[in-house]
Amino acid sequence: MCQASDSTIQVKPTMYKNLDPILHSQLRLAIVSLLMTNDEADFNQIKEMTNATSGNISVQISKLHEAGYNEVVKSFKNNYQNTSLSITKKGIKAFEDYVESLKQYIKTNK
Amino acid sequence: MQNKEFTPEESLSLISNVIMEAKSRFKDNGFSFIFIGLCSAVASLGQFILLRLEYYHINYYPYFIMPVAAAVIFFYYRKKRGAVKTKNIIGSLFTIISALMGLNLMIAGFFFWEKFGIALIPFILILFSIWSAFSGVLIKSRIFLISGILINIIAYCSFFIDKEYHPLVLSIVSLIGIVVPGIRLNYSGKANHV
Repeated sequence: MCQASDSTIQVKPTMYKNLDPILHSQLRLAIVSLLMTNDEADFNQIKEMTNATSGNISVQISKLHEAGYNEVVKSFKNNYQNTSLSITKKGIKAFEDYVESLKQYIKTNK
Repeated sequence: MQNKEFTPEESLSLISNVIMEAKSRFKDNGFSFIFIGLCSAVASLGQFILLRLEYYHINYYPYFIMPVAAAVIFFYYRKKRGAVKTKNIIGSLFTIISALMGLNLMIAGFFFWEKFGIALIPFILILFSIWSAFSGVLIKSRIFLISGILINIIAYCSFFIDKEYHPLVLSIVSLIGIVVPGIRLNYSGKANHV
């Protein structure tokens, strides 16, 4: 559960304490999963894949960026603004650890 | 998609769904349709004009731009795909179908035109219809699917048209059935850029 305040982003503890709270969010997890598949993805691809609003996607990209999980490059393509994202090494490691934690959780709770 | 609490099982399911969807999703900017469609339209219109002017011995010369067009497309997509480091099965299918279509067009047109006789341009139209319809399914474009079906119908109808007008039919079909949907695809891709 994440709330955005004026100047800081607070992440409340969830019932899945060992899971990375940055990744344990549907939209952020979907974005990171997409970036794990494609070396680069643009804003439009993320919007199509997730059916989320532009505002919500922007907020989640910022949160991932603050955590150091992605890189954002803004450019112009054919005179249109283009935002492209790629995952960082820190993001890849975080994702891999997150998946491992998920497997452990599922294994433990069976 | 919302930011809400969800279970580890749901997390894993989300991850695998996104990855599978990403690997099967394919987008095209319509360049191949616009370029091949225009070249085909120009070549076939050129042939029609040469036939009308009774230059029968060189009437097929305009079609020599088609291998050049194929080479341009090949290098364009090789450069474009080289920038994308993900293997996409739909993209591979699209490439194979387009390549097969182009190859069959060249072989039929340049080496078997006498054997095909009156059926050559209807055969070319059928190949165009398959390319358009298949592409429509792969890139999820209804206009290409409908165009493919219509071109298929026109292919068979062309048997009832005088052979000398076949190149004109091909030219018009190339423009309306291939180039126009290609331009629309290109425009819709640009309009969605954020």
